[in-house]
Amino acid sequence: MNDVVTAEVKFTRRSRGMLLLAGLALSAVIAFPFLASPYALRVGILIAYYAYLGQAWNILGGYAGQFSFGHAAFFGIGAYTSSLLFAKLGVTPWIGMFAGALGAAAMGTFIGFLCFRYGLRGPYFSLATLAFAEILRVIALNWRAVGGAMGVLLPLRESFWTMQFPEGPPYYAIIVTMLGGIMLLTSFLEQSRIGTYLVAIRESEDAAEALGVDTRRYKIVAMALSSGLTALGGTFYAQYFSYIDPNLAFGIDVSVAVLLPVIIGGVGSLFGPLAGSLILTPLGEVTRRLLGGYRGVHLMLFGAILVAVILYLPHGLVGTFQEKRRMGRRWLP
Amino acid sequence: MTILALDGVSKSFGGLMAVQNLSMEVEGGEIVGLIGPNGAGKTTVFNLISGFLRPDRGRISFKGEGIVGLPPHEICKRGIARTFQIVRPFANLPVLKNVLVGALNRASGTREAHRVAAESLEIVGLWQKRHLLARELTLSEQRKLELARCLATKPELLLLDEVMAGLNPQEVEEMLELLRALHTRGLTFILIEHVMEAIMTISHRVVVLHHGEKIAEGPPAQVAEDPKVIEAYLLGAPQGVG
Amino acid sequence: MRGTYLVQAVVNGILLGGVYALVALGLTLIFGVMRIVNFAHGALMMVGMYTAYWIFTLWGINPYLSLPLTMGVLFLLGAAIQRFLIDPILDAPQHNQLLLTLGVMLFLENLALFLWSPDFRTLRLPWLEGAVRAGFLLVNKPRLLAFAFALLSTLALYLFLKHTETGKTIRATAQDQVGAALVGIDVRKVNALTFGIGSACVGMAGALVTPYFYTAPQVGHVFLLIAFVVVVLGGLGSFTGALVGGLIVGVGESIGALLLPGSFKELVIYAIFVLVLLYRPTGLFGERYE
Repeated sequence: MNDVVTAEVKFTRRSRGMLLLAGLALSAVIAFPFLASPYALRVGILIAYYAYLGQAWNILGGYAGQFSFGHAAFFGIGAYTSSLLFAKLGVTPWIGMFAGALGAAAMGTFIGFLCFRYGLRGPYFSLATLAFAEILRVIALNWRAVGGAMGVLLPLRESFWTMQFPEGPPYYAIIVTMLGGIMLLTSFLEQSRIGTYLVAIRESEDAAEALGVDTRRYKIVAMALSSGLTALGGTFYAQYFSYIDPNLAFGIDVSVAVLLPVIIGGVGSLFGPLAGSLILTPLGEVTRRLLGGYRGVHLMLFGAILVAVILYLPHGLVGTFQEKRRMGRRWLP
Repeated sequence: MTILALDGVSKSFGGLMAVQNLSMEVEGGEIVGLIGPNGAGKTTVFNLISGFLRPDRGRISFKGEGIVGLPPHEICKRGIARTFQIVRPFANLPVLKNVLVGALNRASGTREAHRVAAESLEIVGLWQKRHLLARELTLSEQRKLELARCLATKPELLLLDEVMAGLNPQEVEEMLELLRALHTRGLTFILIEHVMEAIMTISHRVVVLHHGEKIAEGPPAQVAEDPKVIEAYLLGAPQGVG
Repeated sequence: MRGTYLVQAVVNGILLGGVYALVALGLTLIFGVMRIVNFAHGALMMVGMYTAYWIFTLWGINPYLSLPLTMGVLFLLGAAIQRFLIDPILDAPQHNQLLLTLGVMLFLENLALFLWSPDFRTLRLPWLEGAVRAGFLLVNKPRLLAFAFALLSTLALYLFLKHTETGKTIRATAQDQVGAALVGIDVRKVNALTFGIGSACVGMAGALVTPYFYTAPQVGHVFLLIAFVVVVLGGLGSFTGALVGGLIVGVGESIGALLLPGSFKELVIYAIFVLVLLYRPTGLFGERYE
């Protein structure tokens, strides 16, 4: 009985501590745009942006265990859909982004249906997704109606309805809200039937099947969710940078950028993408600034970090931290 | 009442006949042992029943309805659960979550699923360890976990593939106790085993496979004396006979 | 009139395919022995191209003469990568292995970008310009040479694998890593050797294409994807598959360039890829992997 009481007290103390921490973090996040320099704000926006994209990828890659190397496909669909709707038909990106998300989710469902119907797993699946992204890139490159190699330049008409702003803070607000939203969604997912099934599929597809899980269906659901969410990130990119082309939208660099923070931070964890982005993004920006003349150094660094993480911290930062905590707890009664 | 019936089931891989023209029936509430030397096709039979493989010929019916061609998750929903020869826990998930996956099979929501999962864990005696990750369990515990997972799906027929393999005599005894307890709850079992004493003790009836064919069938004592069975085991790989 | 274009395209495709086959051979060899899909393969080819380019630019030795040197460099690089980076994770989950080679690719490509800028570079060999006439066919000289060398090396590699002790050791390890270790084969050495040979192959291919293909840090991407298509089409781990696959892809791309506008010919390649992955992932000559 005593143990239960002490445990409860410990729990309340702990949860109070966590609540305090969360409150502090939230205040910092809200205060940030008012205190930071324009440059720091830009870095902050990018941190949230890559964390968002990573989290979207994480749903399919980390939770469902299907490593996509072609998420640029969905990113690009989002970016192109909202941008074309805006540039050619004057549709507000606020609506365009959801059109893009739907389109990407449809594409994701299609690709997922094809791949999973034929039982593609592991590297085969990764390669197939890569191929699909490349197909879209080549199509965009050669299709004059969507701008071909010139891409799409968004007409500058700053207003709320065109999701274009002269300065950083509104962009910051948007992306941070998106990040908060996707993390909330993921945390609900973790406790839900879908989430439980997805991680089961990741751990052992056969065992999951034998326990009544329609693995194909749930993998496709993960795919659709992940792709739709990624597309929203694509729209944000287009609005923030005002220009997209086939390479910027569908290139391999995008597919890599999306998964990098997740691997570093910890695949399959709620805070992994954020942790990874908190490390990689400022590092990348600082490197770019210091060695501005030399291109690609930050990617060299990322490549080296990726190799190092795989070799020494295969569970990523968050995963390793959780492991250590686990080991630590074992020593307590 | 016949709960499971195989009629003329055959399966080959390339040129190799894994299961040849197998016909057998299982009555509700029975414990049937499926034995035979290595390579006799026993796990293949499980794979065929549970939908992981499709028979080339023959019919399989469960509770009167044909189940050939149904995907494994569908078959689980109908009431057949199985374990795997080499344990397949959801290694990086907590024990509770492992069983939750099974519980969600029939439970209408996560709350009820948690209740069912808790119940299953209590039955196998793993409730205390529910927060441990599956990979932190011992082999014996992992087998119990697989059992709990299956139970959570609320099956009527349980296919257990070498659930005693690698267990020491005390653990074998624990497992037998567990199976007996589950049997009194009305579950039907088909057990693949090499631990002969265990399977002969607990089975009502034994089916013997050799090179994919049924060579004997009957009460354990009768089958043990059958010259064909003895010959098959002597010629096949020597496996824990006695 | 159309017929001659087609034949020309087929011939060009075969020349192209020979080089593709050489690139793919390295990839399939590495996969066959270590079951690793090497994402850094294209980057290694790029290193081969730059090596040949700089040897020529600094010391005037043409890429054909400097082949042994280029191959040596790539062999050492590959063996080192395997020994220090890949060996430790041979037992890790597959996606981790993929990610590691992806990391190596990122590093190598951007190192090249940092050192030598994104400028496209070409290697001009005045004595090798132009084409050879054969009836109504025009055969581009550098491409012909590249094809000839690729063919010779493929033959050499085949003989090496089939008839030498080391070659047989490699093949044994490809069949069964555990079994090979049990009979006393130093598997770690074989792995490093294989990765070295695979890298030397693709480095050689890189050197061979420098007279007619641009050299740039990201050039590896193009060849990486093509290599994947070839290897999946031919069957992961299959020597014959890499050859046949290379020729099929080369001819397919060439005919695609003839019939389709712009860079749509790449679509042909990717379409082949997707179709093969869906309908016959083991490829034409491969065994079931998994």
